[in-house]
Amino acid sequence: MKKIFVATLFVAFSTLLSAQADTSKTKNKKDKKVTDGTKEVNWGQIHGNFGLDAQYYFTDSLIAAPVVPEKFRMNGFLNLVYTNGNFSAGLRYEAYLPKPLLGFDTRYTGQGIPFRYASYKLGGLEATAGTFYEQFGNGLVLRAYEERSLGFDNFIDGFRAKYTPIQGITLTGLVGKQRFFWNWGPGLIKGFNADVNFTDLFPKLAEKKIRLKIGGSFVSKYQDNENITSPLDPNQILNLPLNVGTWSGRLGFGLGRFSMNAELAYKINDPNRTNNYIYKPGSAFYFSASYVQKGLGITLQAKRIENFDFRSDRNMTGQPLLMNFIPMLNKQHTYALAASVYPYAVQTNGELGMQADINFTTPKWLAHKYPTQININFSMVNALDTNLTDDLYGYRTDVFGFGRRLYMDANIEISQKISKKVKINLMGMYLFLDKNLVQGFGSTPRLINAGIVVADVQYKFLPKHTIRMELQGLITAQELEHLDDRTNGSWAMGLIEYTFSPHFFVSFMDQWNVGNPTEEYQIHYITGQVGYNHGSTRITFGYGRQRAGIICVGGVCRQVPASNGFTLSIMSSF
Amino acid sequence: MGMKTKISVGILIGLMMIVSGCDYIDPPYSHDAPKACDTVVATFTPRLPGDKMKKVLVEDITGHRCGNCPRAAETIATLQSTYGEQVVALGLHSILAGAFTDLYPSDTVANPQQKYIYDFRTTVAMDIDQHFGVSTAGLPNGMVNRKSFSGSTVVGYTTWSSHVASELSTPQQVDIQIKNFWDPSTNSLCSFYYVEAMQNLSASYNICLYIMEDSMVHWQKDYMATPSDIEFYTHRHVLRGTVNGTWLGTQINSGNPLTNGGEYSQAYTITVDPAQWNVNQLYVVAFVYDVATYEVIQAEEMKLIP
Repeated sequence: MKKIFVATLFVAFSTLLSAQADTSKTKNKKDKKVTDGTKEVNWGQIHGNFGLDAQYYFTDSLIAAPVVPEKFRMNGFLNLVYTNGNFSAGLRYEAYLPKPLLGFDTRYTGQGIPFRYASYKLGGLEATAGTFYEQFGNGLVLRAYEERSLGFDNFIDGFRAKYTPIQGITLTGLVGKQRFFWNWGPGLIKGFNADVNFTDLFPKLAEKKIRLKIGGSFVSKYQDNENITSPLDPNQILNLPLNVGTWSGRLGFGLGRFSMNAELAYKINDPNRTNNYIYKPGSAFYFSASYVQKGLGITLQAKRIENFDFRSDRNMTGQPLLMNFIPMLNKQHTYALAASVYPYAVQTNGELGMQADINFTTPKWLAHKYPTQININFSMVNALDTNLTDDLYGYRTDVFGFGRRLYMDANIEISQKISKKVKINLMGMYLFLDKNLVQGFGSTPRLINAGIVVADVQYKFLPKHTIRMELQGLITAQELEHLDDRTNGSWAMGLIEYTFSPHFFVSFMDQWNVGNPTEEYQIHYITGQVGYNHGSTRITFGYGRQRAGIICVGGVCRQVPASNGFTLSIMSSF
Repeated sequence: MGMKTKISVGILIGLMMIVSGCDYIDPPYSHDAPKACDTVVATFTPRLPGDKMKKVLVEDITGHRCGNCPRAAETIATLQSTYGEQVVALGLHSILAGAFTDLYPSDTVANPQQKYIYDFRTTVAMDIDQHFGVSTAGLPNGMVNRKSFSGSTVVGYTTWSSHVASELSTPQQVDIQIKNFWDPSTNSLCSFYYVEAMQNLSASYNICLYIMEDSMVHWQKDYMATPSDIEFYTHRHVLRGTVNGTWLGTQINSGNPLTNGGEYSQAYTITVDPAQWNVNQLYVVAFVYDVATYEVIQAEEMKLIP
């Protein structure tokens, strides 16, 4: 079926192209408009990008790297998008050969063209057939997106229409099924969204610097009935809702330097595997307010999520077939020890979170020569305080009932240019995490308190020649009883990177599990990389040991096993 | 209202009606499953001390196109000949193992010998595999009592015999008995478990009742055979499904600690399709595990039709 569709698409392409070629008397090259006197022929444009990540694996029993019998694995893709005026069409070829890289879902094994679409615009209408990505509001009720570094892709395959009757009003309707590796999930998704931007509708608001937007969404999922035994009594079969509906309303308001954005969403009873088949309705609330002026930016955010895991298959867990997205209200750290040792994974079935973020630049009269940039960030997430019921309703909870603390992060980052040649960046951070609860290893607490410090110095010793050095430390004393754990206790890390702009870079990094209570596991994870950039192409080659851990993007995470080997990465676009 | 606005409002309402499909379920949230256990009463008595024995669960994550997997199956056969019924085995065919468990095309032109067209894969095997990450580590691989040995729950078959020996040397904590009642008129199975705690056990425990089909004859890849595709290979201990819910099973004593001498029993019923499964080769495999660590403390198996 997939193949037939792709073939049709190609035929449609070539027919389109040849039909246009017939009308012109001269043969033209791509991307060129040529006039033959009476008609202008537009051949349209093709753009795309290409990416390949490959690794050659060695066995390394010390770090417990899984044995890869085939030694070599790769993930690769090529996107092609053709546009011609109001028409566009695209496809993506993907290959995971002979299997996806370690840590990616092995159900991706294979190759093919999962992604293909055609779309056109006419008046205020934009119609798309095939695969597409979409987000309603903040994504609380619908977000179809791709995050390649996680191996996450939940595009919708079906039809979508967007209609803009007048500037400031956008209506979207869609219907389709979601990607499930090389197939589709069992649930049918129907969605409708309306956004009204009053600032566009009433120019007087813009004159008064008032920004006002409202929006609303409905999303429904249909899945066939099946016999699922009750988790409370296996001699009982669940009465399943086949249609599960969600809706949300949102408001965006801005006045001068102040702006805010709030969204409230509701989901009817949706017994599914992630909530252990309970019938309690779900709700989600998200709020963000910010104030920005020269030299100062303040953002305050809060959310309350209750039983809001929404998928197009009630029996699915993990990453596949997620229909919605719960925003992460924690700083997305970039320094390795802060980002990937104890990251936070969003708890879609219950959490209360808040974040404050302040950016401050010292004013000119205070800074001698170069201003100091300071970022202060605090975030905290708690579970809901729940009272379990003895039936399948599940639990009851208060709106403001705070349960167990899941995560806390308080950090300060200072950035200072010392001279034309030297720039330093310092970070200090305190972190708390209930590792078992957050990373899904069970409900026995495994509480971690850690302090992290980072110093990052950049020295441009000659024009085009820069050396950058990072020193990082993570200190924790909480995990010492887990003697079997190969990534445990305190860490030290050093990185040195040399860049010869604009083409070359070399870097060398050592992550050392210096505080592992098992002496044998005080392992150095050393990696080296060489990279070459040219235009929009980047090639990186490396060798090293990768520690076992968890990678999170936007609060969505995947487990990564340890590995040892050569890596090659090529990214390019045209 | 202008014509254009009217049309827009009409479309809007139409779309909302299409989209807002909602099935509200009021209590009760469930209904009775077809019952075979209604007509059956099972009684248990504790086994005599000399009849009790520690039993260990060995799970072999395997695939019909995995050419080294017969080595793991042979290891289990050796273990069972050494320790007898003290070794309870399951063969898991997981879709996560990719090509190892995938099927060949079933059309007779592309695949005249009809190799590898039988689908051994089950949801329960996938769930277990996904949780413990077994096939991510490559096949063949397995687990002994789902216990972590030197930091790894997934252990290679060459190490099974030492892990089995060390597990069998630990004291028995619970004793499990199973009674099966098969009703051929309704194709339904009523299965009882009975757990006797042999000491005070402070953790929270679950019991799993799985359905296993033994000795299924289908194609198997074997790199040590010539040719390497074996048509009439006997697949042992194939995990087919569950009797009591998901792969996680159900709580014993509502998740509360077990007291020495405490007896816990429960009956479950499922329907079996004899066209799919050979009922004469079906077994119920039961095991008790610690919910916090997933470690299995005792296993048992019983044939469906004795």
